[in-house]
Amino acid sequence: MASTALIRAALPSEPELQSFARAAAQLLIDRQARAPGARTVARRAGVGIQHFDHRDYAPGDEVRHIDWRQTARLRRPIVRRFESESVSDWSLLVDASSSMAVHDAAKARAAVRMAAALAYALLHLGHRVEVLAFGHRVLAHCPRGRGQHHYAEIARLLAALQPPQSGERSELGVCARHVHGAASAFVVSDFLADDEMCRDLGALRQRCTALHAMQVSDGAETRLREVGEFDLVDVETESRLHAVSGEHANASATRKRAAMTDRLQSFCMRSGVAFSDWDVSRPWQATLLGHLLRARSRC
Amino acid sequence: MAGHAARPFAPGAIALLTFAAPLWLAGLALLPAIRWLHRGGPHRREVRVSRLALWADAQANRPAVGERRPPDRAWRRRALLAALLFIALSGPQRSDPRVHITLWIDDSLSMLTREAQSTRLGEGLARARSLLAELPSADVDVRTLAEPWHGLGALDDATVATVLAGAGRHEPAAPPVALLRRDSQHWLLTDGADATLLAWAGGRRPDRVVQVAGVTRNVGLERLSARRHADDPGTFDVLLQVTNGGTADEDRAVVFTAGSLEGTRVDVVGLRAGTSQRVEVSIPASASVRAALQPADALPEDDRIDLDLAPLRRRRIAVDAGCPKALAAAVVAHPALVLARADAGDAEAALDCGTSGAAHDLPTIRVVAQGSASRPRGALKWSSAVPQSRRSELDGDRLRVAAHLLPQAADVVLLAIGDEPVIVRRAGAVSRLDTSFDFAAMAVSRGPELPLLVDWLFETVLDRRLLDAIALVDRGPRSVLVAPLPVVAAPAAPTSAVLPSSSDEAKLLLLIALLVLSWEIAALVRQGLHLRAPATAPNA
Repeated sequence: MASTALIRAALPSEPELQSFARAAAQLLIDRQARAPGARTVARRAGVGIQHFDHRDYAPGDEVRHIDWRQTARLRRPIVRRFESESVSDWSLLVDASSSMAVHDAAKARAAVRMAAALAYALLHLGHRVEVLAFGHRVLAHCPRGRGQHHYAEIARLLAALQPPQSGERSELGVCARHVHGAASAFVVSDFLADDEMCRDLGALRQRCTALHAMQVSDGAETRLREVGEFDLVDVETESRLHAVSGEHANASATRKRAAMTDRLQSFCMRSGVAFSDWDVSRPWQATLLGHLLRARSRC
Repeated sequence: MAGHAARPFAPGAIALLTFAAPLWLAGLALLPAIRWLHRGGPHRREVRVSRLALWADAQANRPAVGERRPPDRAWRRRALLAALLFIALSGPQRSDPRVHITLWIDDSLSMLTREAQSTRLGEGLARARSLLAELPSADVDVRTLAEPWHGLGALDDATVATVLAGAGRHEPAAPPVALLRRDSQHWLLTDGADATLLAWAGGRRPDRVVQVAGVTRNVGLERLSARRHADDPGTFDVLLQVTNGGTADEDRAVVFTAGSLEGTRVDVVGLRAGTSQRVEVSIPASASVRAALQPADALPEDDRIDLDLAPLRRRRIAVDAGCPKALAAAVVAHPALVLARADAGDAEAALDCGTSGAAHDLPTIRVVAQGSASRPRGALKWSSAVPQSRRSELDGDRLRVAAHLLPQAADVVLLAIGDEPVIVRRAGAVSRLDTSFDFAAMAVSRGPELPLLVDWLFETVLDRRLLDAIALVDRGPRSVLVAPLPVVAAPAAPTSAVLPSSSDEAKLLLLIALLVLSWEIAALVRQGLHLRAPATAPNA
């Protein structure tokens, strides 16, 4: 399959992965001294044994983490959250909807490339990593695992990932039940859905320790190369729009895309979601490192 | 009365359109199919986008669900092209509501037969005028069967006078097919006596017949001829053919009148209907002869026949006194020539032997003698200008010449012996022949060459046959027929005439179709260029 071959070829090479893992190692370790001699510890919720705080119970939370005393006091299920240990669980959620397949699947290739690199780096640091490819359902799932052997499985899944050409919508919420409360989630998607997936992001944010949103965008999706009059077809919903191409149309689409990004970014800032917008024309290494750096600095 | 005239349209009626091949109009039913083939459908050029909401401002219109696109506007152009072609193939013709009538008038001799009130022609013309008066919008063109190519226009008094004055003078015939136009009704005024006038080309029949015929009995003089008596140049032999063109046996007497003197009377008894009888008489040579039937009948014009005998007269030849006696004797012996003195004023030709010295403005035969007679060497060579039938059988051994002729560039050598020209036609306004024959020497042999040459020379210089000439008047066997035959008109006359200009309308439509086709080609070329442009243009 041509697209499969394209995606497989999009996986980073081993030297690239190793180089990135070394560069991102310090950003992916939870406890880190801010400066030599100082003992400033960035506290974040995660998988560990040090109590961090409480929050309401959510389906999927481990029962053993329920704080019964607080539950009895507040009359609602309350779970304990623990301070994140240096080794934790990560869920990589990769958008495999049809919108990722347009324009020669440039966004899908970029997402796969970034997910593979992040998974490699996390596994290199000893984290447990699971990968979910989602559309309007979970299309592929590589269960949580650890070690370089697990990366091979993840790489196979990502290489075989082929977003349907049409009809596959983006429903980030379907991944929620796969993410347990102590994990960190990293969503790679174009977020081209109703309300920019903000509702699903909010729900997901409630279920994980940390949430990252990496918006994949492609300049081609706001440019029409064809000239004249034609039907625009939404690859996910198959709905149609009789349109006329032109500079005005391209400029309008660019504005709308920017507005969507702004809305998504505002939501992420309000919700404590680390957000980055990545144009696939830019290198993934710098983008991902920058994102991790910003997320780290916010903690 | 046979046939029915078409009832004409009212004056000022609008010309209608008819079609020569209306089945082609069924092709117009394809126009909805062309419209259907150009219908707008839900399938159009598609561009797949990741999010449709991004392009809300690029919306051209918002067709309802299931609504088709508007049809390609080119369908009108293509439908117009198809319609033009189908209509052109159907042969559109403008029909003229006016009635065009060609009135063919039989002006044969039998139409002068006296009927109850007038001649057949007179009564027929009056009846035709009354019929045409009922058609005030009719466009009438009168033509006679004797002179069909000469249109006489409407049937007014002048036309009637012209027709009456010219009737019986020429032999009529059926109308030429070229004049039997289909956009016109053809009426025929006839007595129906001559069946050949009713046999029209292509099986056509007159649309209406005005037949006037009541008298059925007639005896007429069909043919009169005369020739000079073989033994007596002063007598003419006359042959007359009498024909009974009626339906009953008849008895007549024929009276011949030579010049001003009434001569022989011959009775023709028991002449049966439809048969002829010949009457032979000899009359003294005269300038003319007349034969008349007694008693006359309803058609007096064919009861008398005159024959001009002037062509049979003997030609006076002015003979030079110096001509050999044998030559003058040959002229005297010729039955159509009369010897005259060299200065005779009524001579029709001259024979110049070089001694008269007078210059004649008459056709002249000049006998050239420059020396003693000699026998020419070689074979006789007639000019190709002399027909084979006119070449005399001459014995070269008995021919003698006494001069050497020098023909000029414009002269014609009619006869040569070997390389020696012996008879030369000199160029000039007056016919003149020069001959080098020595007739005196040739007379010694007593052969036929001398009279043969004399006859040949005078026939050539006068340009007419002199021996056994015949004067003739022949009215034809149908001239005396008066009994009417049944004449049937065409079963149905067209209600309107169709102009023969269907090809003009078709050509006009085809020209318009060609323009539309050019328009279509230009539009296709422009569309092709437009479609190629995005592929070559740089991406935005």
